[in-house]
Amino acid sequence: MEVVGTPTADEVAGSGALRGVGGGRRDEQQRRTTGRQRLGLGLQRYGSLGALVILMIVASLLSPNFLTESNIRLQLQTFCLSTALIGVGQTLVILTGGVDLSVGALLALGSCLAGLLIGHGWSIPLVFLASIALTTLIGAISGTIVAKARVQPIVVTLAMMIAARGLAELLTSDATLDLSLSDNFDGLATTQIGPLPVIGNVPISVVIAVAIYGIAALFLVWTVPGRYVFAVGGNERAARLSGVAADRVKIAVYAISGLLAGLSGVLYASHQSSADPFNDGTFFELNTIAAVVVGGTSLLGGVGGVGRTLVGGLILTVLYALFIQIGLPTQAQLIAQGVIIAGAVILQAGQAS
Amino acid sequence: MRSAMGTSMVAGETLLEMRGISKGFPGVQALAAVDFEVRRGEVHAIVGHNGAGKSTLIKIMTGADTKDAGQIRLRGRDVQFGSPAAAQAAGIATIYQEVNLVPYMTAPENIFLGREPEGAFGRIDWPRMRREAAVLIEGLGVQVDLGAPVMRLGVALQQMVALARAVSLQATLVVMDEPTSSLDAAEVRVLFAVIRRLQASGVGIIYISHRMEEIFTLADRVTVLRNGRLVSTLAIGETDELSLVALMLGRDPEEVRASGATAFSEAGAVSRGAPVLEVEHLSRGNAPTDVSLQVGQGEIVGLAGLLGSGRTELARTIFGADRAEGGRIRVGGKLRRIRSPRDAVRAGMGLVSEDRKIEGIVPALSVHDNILLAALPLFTRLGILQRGKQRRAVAEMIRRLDIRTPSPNTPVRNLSGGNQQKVILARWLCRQPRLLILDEPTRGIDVGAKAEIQRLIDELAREAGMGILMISSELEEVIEGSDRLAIMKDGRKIGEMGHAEASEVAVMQVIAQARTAQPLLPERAQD
Repeated sequence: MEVVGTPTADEVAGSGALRGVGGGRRDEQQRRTTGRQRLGLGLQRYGSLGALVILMIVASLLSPNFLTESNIRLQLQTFCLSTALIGVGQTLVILTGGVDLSVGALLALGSCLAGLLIGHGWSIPLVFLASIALTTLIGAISGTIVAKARVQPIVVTLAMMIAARGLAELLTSDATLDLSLSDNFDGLATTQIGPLPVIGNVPISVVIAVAIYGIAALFLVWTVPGRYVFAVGGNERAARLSGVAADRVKIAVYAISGLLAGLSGVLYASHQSSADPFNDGTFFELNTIAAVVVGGTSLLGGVGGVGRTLVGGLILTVLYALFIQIGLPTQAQLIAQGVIIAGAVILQAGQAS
Repeated sequence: MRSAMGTSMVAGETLLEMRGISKGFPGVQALAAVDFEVRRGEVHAIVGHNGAGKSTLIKIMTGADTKDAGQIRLRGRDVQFGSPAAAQAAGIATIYQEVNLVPYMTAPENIFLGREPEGAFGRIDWPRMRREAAVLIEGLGVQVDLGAPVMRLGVALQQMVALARAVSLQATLVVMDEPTSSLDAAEVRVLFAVIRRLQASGVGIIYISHRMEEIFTLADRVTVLRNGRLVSTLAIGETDELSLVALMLGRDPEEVRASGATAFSEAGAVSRGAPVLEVEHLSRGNAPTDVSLQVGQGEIVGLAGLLGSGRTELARTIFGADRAEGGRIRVGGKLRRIRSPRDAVRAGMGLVSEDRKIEGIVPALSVHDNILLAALPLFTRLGILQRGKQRRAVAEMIRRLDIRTPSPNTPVRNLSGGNQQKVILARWLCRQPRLLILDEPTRGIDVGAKAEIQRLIDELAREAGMGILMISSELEEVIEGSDRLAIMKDGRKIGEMGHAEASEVAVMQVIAQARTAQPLLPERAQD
């Protein structure tokens, strides 16, 4: 083949000269921005972890009972049985640039279906399967509407949140189901596993949470769909043009979010010994969004991870426990929480610009 | 057609006069002492290539930007617009390509936005608003559903609403920047009829378009800008398409004319290897329209044409980014149904899109992640990504393409434009596609990186045997870089030429001589 489009000697020389002069300047510029970038990444990646450590030191100073083994166990278990798991789903959804407002209601739905089926004498594995299947399906439906009909995630999941709560009320005929008599199910979520070396007995809910966070972190870093989550959230059009099936990625994250909400719901019912369609999981969607943000995942998508959400969730848990232990009135607790969440977002916005 | 000069209109008094307008941006003199004037009842077209200074001139006259030097007189009075609102108050209305209306509001609401007619007790007089809007719109000779939110009206009617607003604001000068870019032929005719009415009522119209036929149909005079300088202002009857294109490019029209008719048949097509891409009768809306094209193994085929000729649309349709409405695509001899970019990637294609920031890079992700985005599935074992293999591939790409980045983990947004472009090329090289489509591969890239990218493209075809379909607005680049040129106009392929026959003059001639679209308006009556 003939040589076409090959630069002439002049052009080559010209580009070489340019590389010598302009290239140096550019490299320097890059280094500078990288320095700043590194600081930014550091803040985002480790800032929240640092805040958690400082918060724990402050907590132990303010409340001598704080850093005791029993308190830590209690707080961890509370966290793992409430928003820990759905925080993972929320993170995945937010990483794709969406948001899932239905997680709290799906948790209630999972809890109520579990309560109902236990009452009908279903075996525990089947109860888990059925509840999780239902909430996963609903999550997948939300995801499909978001991906295919291009409706904003906040609207889709808001509608789902309302509908799922209604469905939960329907299942229980507007009543709270008492599960304290179902021997095997009641207290299942707090079953202790162990003793393990050093840490002794660990409640099963904590084990599950650790496993889920571990799996999610590995998924995001080590698998193709995991990387696609970041690509879709970071620039959906570029991802599509690179051959990424962006719709499938979106459907999958909402389905996973539904799955984890269902699992959480069953565990929640077991822990509470009841299934309450009105109160189970209320405000959990907002608490998980708060945990994601405080942890340092961008609400715009594409930047963040589940580790950050874990730290963010622990920060909120510690704060909450601390407020109670130092006897802060409920109203003040809420105000302080609000201030801290707003502060985290402002810090993030500062870094982004 | 050219002889039909609207002499009576040209004789109108001067409406807007700009003298010695200069404007500099860091590193660029966007405008250098440009003179420009518009008369009452005149359609004055402004033409020029990218960077000629058209937009800057428009921005200065509409108050969207300030001038460094020069004088603007509107109806004989010195003016200085501090803002678009000030220009509007003085009677200058601008109709943009993307219409500036509130999509959820109706036509009357949009027309009277901010100055709604008041009834008793300061309430909005809705019936009067509707009545007056109806009169304004009828005055344009079009029909608009006054009860519907304008977003339901379609782009052409939205422009009519914007025009009605301009008329109601007593605009004496209307600036239209590429108003037909998203209109179909019927809509263009409606728009042109409206322009004629405005013209007849004494409004001066500044018309910017890349489409030569529109200019020769509409304009009374045309001003040519090149590199920020005024080349010439001509009465439309004194020129023709070929001369105008020559002026835009800075060539001597006589030289262009004298060089005569050269071959621009299909004959120049010399396929290197087996065809990797065969496109047959591909259509989607206006662009592409019935395009057939082949790219051979190791061959670089250039797509030439003016802006808006449908080159990007063709590339996107081949790649499945926009779904084809008709036609067939074979890749490597096999018929493929390509309904999404994913199908195209699987068939062995890659696309470097013209807008690197919006459709290319994932800014927050690292160079590493950006390079591997398209090829990620090739780097797994049992579903788990192979980190070592990934790192080696990325390191190899960074070395081979000489991507200057502090580390593979640097977010790609921190890189220079040229290096970002190399990252996107690397993204496709990792997949080793059979066909690579490059849309403006060197746009916005400094000279050094540009030469490197051109060399790389050449290497991909010659050494890796990739078929390459390349779009570039720089004629020089497609002509020198391509083994074969396909020339586009109005969504159609109007000619092909081999490397040996290709020259700027030859390409211009093909573009100027091709008549593809229906006449935009009946010819003006001879006078």
